[in-house]
Amino acid sequence: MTTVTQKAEALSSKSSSIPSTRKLQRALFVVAVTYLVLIIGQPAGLDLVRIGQDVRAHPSAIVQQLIIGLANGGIIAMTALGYTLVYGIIELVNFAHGDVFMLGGFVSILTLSIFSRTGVNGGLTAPLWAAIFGFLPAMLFCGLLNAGIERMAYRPLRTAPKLVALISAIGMSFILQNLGLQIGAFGKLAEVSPVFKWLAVLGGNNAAPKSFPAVLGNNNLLEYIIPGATVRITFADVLVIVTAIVLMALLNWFVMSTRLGKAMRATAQNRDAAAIVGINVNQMIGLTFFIGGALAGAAGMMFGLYNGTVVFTLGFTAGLRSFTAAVLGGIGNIRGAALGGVLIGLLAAFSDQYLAVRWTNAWVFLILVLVLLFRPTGLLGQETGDKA
Amino acid sequence: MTKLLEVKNVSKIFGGLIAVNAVDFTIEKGMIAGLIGPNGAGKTTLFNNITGVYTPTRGQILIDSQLISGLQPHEIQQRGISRTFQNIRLFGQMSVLENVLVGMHSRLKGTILEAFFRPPRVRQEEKEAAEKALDLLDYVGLGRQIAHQTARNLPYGSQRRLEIARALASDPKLLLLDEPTAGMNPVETADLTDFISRLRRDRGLTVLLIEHDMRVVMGISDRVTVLDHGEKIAEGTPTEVQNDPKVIEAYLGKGAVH
Amino acid sequence: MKQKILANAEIAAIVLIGFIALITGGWSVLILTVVAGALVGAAAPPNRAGVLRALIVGALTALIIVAVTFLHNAYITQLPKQDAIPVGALQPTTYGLALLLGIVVAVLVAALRAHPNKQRGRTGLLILVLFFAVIFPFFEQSVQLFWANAVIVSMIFTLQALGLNIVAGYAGLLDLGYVAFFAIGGYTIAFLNSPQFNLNVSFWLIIWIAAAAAALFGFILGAPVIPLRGDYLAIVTLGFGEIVPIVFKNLEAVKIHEPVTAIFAALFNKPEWVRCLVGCTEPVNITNGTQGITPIGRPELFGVKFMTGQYIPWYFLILAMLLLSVFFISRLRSSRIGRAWVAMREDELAATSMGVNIVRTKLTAFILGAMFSGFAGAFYGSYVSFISPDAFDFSISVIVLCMVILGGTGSITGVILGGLIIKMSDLLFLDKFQTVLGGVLQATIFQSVKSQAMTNFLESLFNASQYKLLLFGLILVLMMRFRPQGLVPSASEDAIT
Ligand SMILES: Nc1ncnc2c1ncn2[C@@H]1O[C@H](COP(=O)(O)OP(=O)(O)O)[C@@H](O)[C@H]1O
Ligand SMILES: [Mg+2]
Repeated sequence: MTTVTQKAEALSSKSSSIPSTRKLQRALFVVAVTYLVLIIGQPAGLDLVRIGQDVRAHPSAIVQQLIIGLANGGIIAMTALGYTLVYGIIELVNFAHGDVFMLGGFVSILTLSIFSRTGVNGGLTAPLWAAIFGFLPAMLFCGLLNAGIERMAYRPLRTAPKLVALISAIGMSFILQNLGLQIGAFGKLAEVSPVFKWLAVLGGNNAAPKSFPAVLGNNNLLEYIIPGATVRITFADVLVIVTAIVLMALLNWFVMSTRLGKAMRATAQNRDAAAIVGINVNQMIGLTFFIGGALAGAAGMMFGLYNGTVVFTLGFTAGLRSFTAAVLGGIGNIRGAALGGVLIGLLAAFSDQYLAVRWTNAWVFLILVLVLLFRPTGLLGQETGDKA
Repeated sequence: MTKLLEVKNVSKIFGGLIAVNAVDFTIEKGMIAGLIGPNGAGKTTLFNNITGVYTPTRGQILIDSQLISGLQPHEIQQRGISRTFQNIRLFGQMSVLENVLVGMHSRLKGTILEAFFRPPRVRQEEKEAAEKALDLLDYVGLGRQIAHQTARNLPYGSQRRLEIARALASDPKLLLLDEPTAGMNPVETADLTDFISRLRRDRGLTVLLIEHDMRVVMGISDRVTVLDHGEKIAEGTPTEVQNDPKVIEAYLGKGAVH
Repeated sequence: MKQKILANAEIAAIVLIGFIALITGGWSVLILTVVAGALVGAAAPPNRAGVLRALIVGALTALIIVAVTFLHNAYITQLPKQDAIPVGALQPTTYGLALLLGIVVAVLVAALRAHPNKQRGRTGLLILVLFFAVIFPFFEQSVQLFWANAVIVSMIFTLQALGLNIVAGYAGLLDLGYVAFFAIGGYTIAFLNSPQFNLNVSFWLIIWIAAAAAALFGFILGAPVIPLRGDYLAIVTLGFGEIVPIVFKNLEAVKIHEPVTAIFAALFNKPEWVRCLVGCTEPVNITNGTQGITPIGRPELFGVKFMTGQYIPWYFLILAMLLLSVFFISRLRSSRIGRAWVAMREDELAATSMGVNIVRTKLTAFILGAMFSGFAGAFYGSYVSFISPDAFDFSISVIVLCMVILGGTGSITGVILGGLIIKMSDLLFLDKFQTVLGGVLQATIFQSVKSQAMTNFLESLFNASQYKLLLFGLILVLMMRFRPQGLVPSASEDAIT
């Protein structure tokens, strides 16, 4: 780290002496890179002519994608918070976090399924109250799971080199994924006895995506205000965005204003000093994992309600996107994670619409690399002190 | 006498903490210089600035009249400054011999392809390096028979000596020792002090020695610089420094005399 | 502390190999006793007493393996749905030979290790290993063990693991997208020697081009990221490993316009202004998408053609490559560059203070590792003669990482052992276990379960091949917790010139 900043300092001090040529050079460089991206990006969906026609043909789609992006961004932000909280306190990229999120989706689907009945069109529907109270088991389960993972897989490694814990986290991620896969097997119990009928939602194939029971009407709320509106805002959009805002506000209040939250921040700042003033460091780390897990559990529920299906491989992509969001906002920074989540959500939505769904992950990755290269501290992060 | 190391008005600030504050001093060739001060005075931080681990917030550092502040640690090492660490930092899983050989890294030339084909030149180079490393193990008093032990398994005192052997391996002009006698008993301390003065006699080496316990430096140093709270509070021959009221206060005030 | 009769390593070897013997049975007993003997010999202390110990423990181990094999052959084969055992495997002479071989190998290995002249002892060991490596494929073929394919693929993956060992084991860099370079190697050969572009470049040239291409991408990716923190490198490589297959999957209809004309065309909605550069009449199909590319050219050497189903030439080709790589890597490790890698892993600050250029040293390791993976990818492509994006999943990066970690980061012997254990389990043993487990369940629990639905559920729950991820995950977590140095720690392997 020091070496990089040194180099940057050296470069900038040189640049001030000959500003005009440097500026020209930089401008030329940017133009060249843009040109290159415009060429290489084309197979990845960056077809300007088609995009132009698309925008002209359906201008309202922009607003629609904005809404979808915000809702998915809220979900990504909630997961990104888990990465950022954990990284802030023990400097570990909790690789298993995406899979905790995935299991949150599975717990949610099972909770909903218990309370749902077969609807008119043959699909399952659950009442709204089940969806709202369904957040609780998902949050509780994922919070405890995440805290348990910390206890079993990371705490014993706290003094070991950083990569040791990271490898352990990758292992945990695989274990959880396999768990997600094998939960699917219980779908077959539904045939065994009517007691297990609610497990039918898991289907007959372990690996296949599981469909969430329908909860929220698919009505366009906007139609009630502007009849004939082309942009759709459904109840799901509202619920997801509102829940995300409420939970993040709660988290912010908790971390900033409560005694426990302050102790947590103190532990993140300086673990030894926190221990000296009598804070139980292990408890604080456990609490951080619990909160991160609970948010991921809520995000799992939101994801299922919003996108309709969950699958055991979900955690990997979701994890990569959320981690990117956390890095984009500035890892360790809570508001940064929220901002990063929304930005990545928007990027993904617009990429899905205007570039190509198949390439969205590649575009997200491009953002990750660019952020790391040009602003490793993220949008809201500040230079962290070298602990060497 | 010619100047070897010049530290000019160097400051290092961490956040709000001024760890080193506008320190100036010069080391001449062939000198054994002492740097003392109570715990937390900023001695190690100054070392880290000289060796490139940190970049000074302000000020300049020169060796042989060439500016080195701002260079990376390996570049500074290649200009002839070598060091040991206050908390021993050996390559624990490597053998004793390999630890010393790493110290010679920048003096050796072999490339990847040469590592594979081992042309006679590289074979010769490696052989000489190993021979020299074994000699160094003898020289620092460890003995070549321990060459193939794992560094981590050595007793504490031997680890300190191995660190010195590793630092000597690059034939430095200037050797920086950070509290080399920390954790040693009086007999070991006396041994090591003798060894340091021998270094100058045998090898014409210039040494900058940090000590927390000021009695150790007094016997062997030509010149002593005293830091307290990041500032230089005194400088001179051991006797001058010893009798300086500011120094006595810094030590007694801290209650750190032992 | 009480003196244990058997060392942990010996118990582990007996349990592991005994378990394999239980699920494979048949002729495999001869291979398993030899492997177990070698491990017992290697675990014994290198002195006279050690040889005696190897004799006793080796005899015990071989006896257990033979007994377990007998159990398999006599009882497990009787269970429903089992593979048939070739007849000769049931002869008492087979058991006797296996027992004898196990003991002889254990004693030989221990004796060679205890040899007063270290150099000679080592040469002897090498000859012994080579001897068994050479006769293995002929034995395998003559008794129809059907292991050859799994062994060859395992060896290709071990080649990859040896490369990752440079990156992760020596230099301590966590590369989670290692599969990307494997894919680049695989697609290099698919492009250069297949009907896709109607090219027919010689295999012997392509493997070097593949290695160079992987190295180039390693440089492009590594140069900007390596100066950053270690965990950032892990994530960026992870992303890269995720993107490369996406790219290969989706480059099937490429059409490229000139960007400036495209901007104006888009702004003024005049598509006819666009100047097309590539794929104008018809989009170019570069990678053939999810369908992949097949057939891929095979090598030819001294008139011997390498073909599907003919394992022996492939086996020896890859064995030779593996040996060459081991030679190369061990020489690198004992050079100044290898020392710099390990020093950097042990203590980066101390290493840079001793004159090691951290960025350059890391980059060298990263690129060399990428090269090995590209190299292995080209072999793989040619061997299976088919390349598609599905073959380059993230799990492969983790499996290769598992090999390095299980065997022992930084230890060549360990990585080879880890590579063979893990990939053979992945390809062979887990499926065999599944067969045996299925049979046992059928004969026991399922018989008492009346309902077909319940049986379906249990079958699906106890499907061993569905637990691969769990197995690899557990290996990573447990190894990090209890034995981070791996089965064969590198400290026990002295890297002396
Ligand atoms: N990397 C760092 N970040 C913040 N403060 C530091 C850092 N390194 C040293 N310090 C502070 O600088 C002061 C001087 O420390 P140091 O140089 O180690 O003292 P000495 O070696 O004289 O005992 C101490 O207060 C220490 O806490
Ligand atoms: Mg100090």
